[in-house]
This record gives sequence, C-alpha cells and structure tokens, in this order.
Amino acid sequence: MTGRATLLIALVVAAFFLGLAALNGGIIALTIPLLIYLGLALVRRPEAIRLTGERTIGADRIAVGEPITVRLHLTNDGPPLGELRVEDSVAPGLEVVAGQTQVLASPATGESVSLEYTVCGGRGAYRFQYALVTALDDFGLFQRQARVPTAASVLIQPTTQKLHLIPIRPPRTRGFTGPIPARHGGSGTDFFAVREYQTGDRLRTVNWHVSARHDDRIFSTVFEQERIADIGLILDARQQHDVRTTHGSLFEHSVQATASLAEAFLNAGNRVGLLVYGSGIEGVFPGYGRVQHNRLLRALARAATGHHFVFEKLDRLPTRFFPAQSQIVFVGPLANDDVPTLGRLRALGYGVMVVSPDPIAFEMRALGATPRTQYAYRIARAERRLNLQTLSRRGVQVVDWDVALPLDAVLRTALARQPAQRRSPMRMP
Amino acid sequence: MNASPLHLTPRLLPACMIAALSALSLGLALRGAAIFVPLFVILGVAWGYSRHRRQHGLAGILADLVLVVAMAGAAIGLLIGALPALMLLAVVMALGTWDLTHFERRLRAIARVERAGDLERRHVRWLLVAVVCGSAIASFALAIRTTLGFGAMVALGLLAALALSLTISTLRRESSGA
Repeated sequence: MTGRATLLIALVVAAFFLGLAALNGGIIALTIPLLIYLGLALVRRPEAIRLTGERTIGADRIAVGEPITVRLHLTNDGPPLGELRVEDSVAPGLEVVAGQTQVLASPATGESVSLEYTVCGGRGAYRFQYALVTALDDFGLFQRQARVPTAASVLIQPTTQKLHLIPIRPPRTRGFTGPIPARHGGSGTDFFAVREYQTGDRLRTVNWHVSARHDDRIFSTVFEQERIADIGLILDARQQHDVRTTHGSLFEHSVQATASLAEAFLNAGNRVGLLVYGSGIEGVFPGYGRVQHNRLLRALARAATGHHFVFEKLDRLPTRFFPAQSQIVFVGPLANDDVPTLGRLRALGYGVMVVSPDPIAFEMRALGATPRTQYAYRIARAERRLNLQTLSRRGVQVVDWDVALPLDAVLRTALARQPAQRRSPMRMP
Repeated sequence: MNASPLHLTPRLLPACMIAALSALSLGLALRGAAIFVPLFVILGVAWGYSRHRRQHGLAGILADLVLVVAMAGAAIGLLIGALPALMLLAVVMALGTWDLTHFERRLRAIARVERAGDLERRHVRWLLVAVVCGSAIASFALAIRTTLGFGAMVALGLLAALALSLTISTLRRESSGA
C-alpha cells in the first residue's frame, strides 16, 4: 500500500465520521467516488510477481576504460501486470555511459521487458545481483516489490604497458632455455669463460687467440647459458602506504606496473607468481603462459588496499611462497620499515628488484609547489634517496619510478645503470 | 526527464483542475463563503506553475493538497447548504486531478516507458469507470432521503470501521507475505 492509498483512506474515514457527527448524509455520500476508486484499485492490485530474469554481459573481462554492454531480459510468467517498474541494480563503481537502467512497462502474461545499457568503470571485480521490480495497480495505490535474481559479474582488468626485456639475474634459474643469463657455461650467445679444449667441443668454439699464446694446448670459448627463472611479484597493498590525491591513487599505478611486469616476464617464458600484501596475503602460485597471465590479471583486478595490524610491516612476508634463490620483484612505494626486510631477502639468496612508484613526486603534483611544500619535498626526497641507496648497496636492483613517466623508459634507464648482480659463484660445464 | 508521449493526460489535467476549483468556488460563493475562493485560486495557480516548470514532485504534493481541500470545502459547502451536485463535481474532479497528476509524475520519473500511449489510455479508461460509477452512485445517494436512528448510524459506523480495518490488515498481511 502506498502513501496515496493511506491518504485516500484517511480522507474517506474523516469524511465518514464528520458526516456521522454532523448527521449529514451528503458528506458521507461524497466519499463514494473515493471508495469506488479505492475499490477498483484494490480489485486490480498486483498479485504475486512471477518474473524470470536473464542478464547478458558483453564480456566477462575487459580492460579499464572499455565500455561494456549489459542486457537485462525479464519475462512475466505470472498474471498481467498493470504497471511494472524495473530498476536494474548497477554494481557500485560502474558508471552508466549510455542507455537506461529503468523502464516502465505493462507486460501481459508471457511478455518480456528488456533493458540495455553501457557501463564503464575502473579496475575491479563487479557483480550485478538483481533487478528491482515494482508492480502497481492501474491507479498506483497498491504495490508489490520483488528482487529478480539476475546475477552476473564482470572483471575490469588493469591496463598493461609493453615492456622491453627486463635484465634480471636471479641466483638460480630453471632448466629450460630462456632469456636470463644462468651463470652456467654452455651454449649461449654471451661470452662466459675460456677453458682448455675438451673432446667434443665444436671447432667454432676454439679460441684461436688464446690458443696461439700456448704451444701445446688449445682453448675453447664457453658461452653463458640462458634460461628461464622463477619470478615472484610482490604487490604492496597496505593501505597506510597508499597515497590518494585528486589525481587518483598511487596504488593503481603499482597495480598497473605489476601487471606490465607480469606480462613481460611471462612473455619471456618465465614462471611467475604473485603475492598481494595488504589486509591479508593473497597469492597466485607460480605458473607459465597465457593461463597464468589471466590468473594474474584476475588477481590484480581484485586487488585492493587494506589494513591489518599483523601486516603493517613487510617482515611477515611468507618467503617460502617463492622458490629459493628465485627473483623477487617488489612493487610498492617503499616505506622506511621495508628496507631491512628487502635487504634480508637479498641476504637469504633471492635476487631482489624494487620497482617503487614515487609517492613524493605523486603527492607533490597534487599539492602544488609552494615554499612550504618545497621544503617538505626536499626532506622527504632526501630520506627516500637514502633508503634507495641503502637497498642498492645491499645488492637490490632499484627502480625509482615517477609515475608521470612511462614505466618502460624508467626501467631501461634505471636498470642499465645498475650492473646485474654477480655474487653467486660461476659454474663451468 | 523524458518526453514521454502522453497525449490525453496533459489535456485532461488542467480541465479537471479548473472544473474542480470552479465548482467548489461557485458552490461556496453562492452560499456567501467566497472567502475561500482566493485559497483555491492560489492552489490552482501554484499547481499549474509547478507543472509548467516540470516540478512534478511539487505538483504531486499540491494535488494531494487540492484533494484534501476539495473534500474539506465540499463538506463545509454541504454543511452550509451549497448545491450538492456542485460539491460532488468538485470532489470527483479533484480526484481526477489528483490521480492524473500522480500518473504523470510516475511516468516522467522513469527514463523509458514502453508503450506509453497504451498505458495512458488504459489508465484513463479505468479512471473514467471509477469517476462515472462513483458520480452515479453518489448522485443517487445524494438524491435519496431517508431517516436513520442514532443506533443505526452507530452500527453503520462500526460496520464501516470494521470493514476498513479488515481491508487494511489483509493488505498488510499480503504485502508482508510478498
């Protein structure tokens, strides 16, 4: 029953009792049109809503910024409905860019009502739950509401940038051929060492220059094997380290960088895993290829910042998640507390790279340059530089990324300056 | 805000409102109660202005007010001996105005209305049925004269109250069950 029906009943009751009190039948007679109107609405009030719904979404996953079409189809399996208002519940965070999410119709038995609209949204996992339907009588006095389940979901994945081959040198590589120098002599392209000729060495590997200096011995050139590696990506999703400004969230840049790195490493044939470290620990176990790429993108689409007292510091990082002596790539703004933990990972024998979106430059752009912010900027910058230098001295590859610049260019510049680590002993074939 | 293809409603609405307020004003003025007429005029103008500005929410509230005022005015009119036919016409037309204003508001609130013409025609048809039947029965009721004792009046009142409470409780049960 709507408020209008209540008003009408109140008027009828008031007029009726006024007529009785005034002993005036005319006043009671005035309520008759209202009672007839009310009675007709009552007789034609909507019965139980029996609608079946079907929702179709253009794709189950799309990239950020891509529009997606949602179609809702409701069929009336019950009696005819006088007025049926359908309101689709658009998942929070999605923006309707075209079409309508509401419709008013009067479907007869077996007839259908359709809605079609286009939405856009930021990275994330979105779920459509139901369509809210309201059936009214012809006069709109009595209504029934129901939620027609039409569950469907869409994943908006982070966009990725194409990255060139990233020069990493994890202490241990896997047995399959790949792009990463393996610290093992064998077939390859890069020079590794010179050793005395052994039976079976191919003639083209004989190093004639070195052999010419010795009378009775011949030497062969050994090349460095190139193999694939285990790479573990760690995305810092701790809320307290995220910077949110009018320009957006720094975490989104971290996610984008992680997705780009994952794609680049997987395309090079490596085995890649992911750990999202925030309100909890969410991981994707290491794997290869296109399927793993989709798994990683799905995990990154769902990644969100969060806070948990246990994971406030990085020292709760489950290092056993990553194979021993594999390559770890940490993507995050880098807090002071993170430096010792990352240094310890390096000491444990992991190859460690830090790709750090610069929170200071990011925040500075939003704040604007004033004398006060400039002063604060210089202090924060000095502290950050110190942290990065400390990491670099501990053998960690450091990429200080100003998110205004393309990641690929920053990676190439930063990693070209840092010679790949060669601390593990060389192994001759 | 959409331009839903409503044809009958925009024509019927002002006619209903003018008829309701004119009948009420005339009926009361003829019995020397012209003091209420400016109130009716102000209400009518405010309602018309809000519709013109497409403020359908405000128009709905004003239509509620018009219905209440029409009922109250008609009751006062009957008490002071105004013409019952005019009072009935005022109530019936106010009911029509009230219904059509809210119908228009419902349709304007939705961006897309499927077969709006059919919906409108059906609505107006049922409204006509209610208005014609209501007017006919009410006219008949106003025409007959019968004397009821106090006991019969109280019994009638109790019966009406009981029927009303039963209807409301049934509706509430239905809506909670849904």
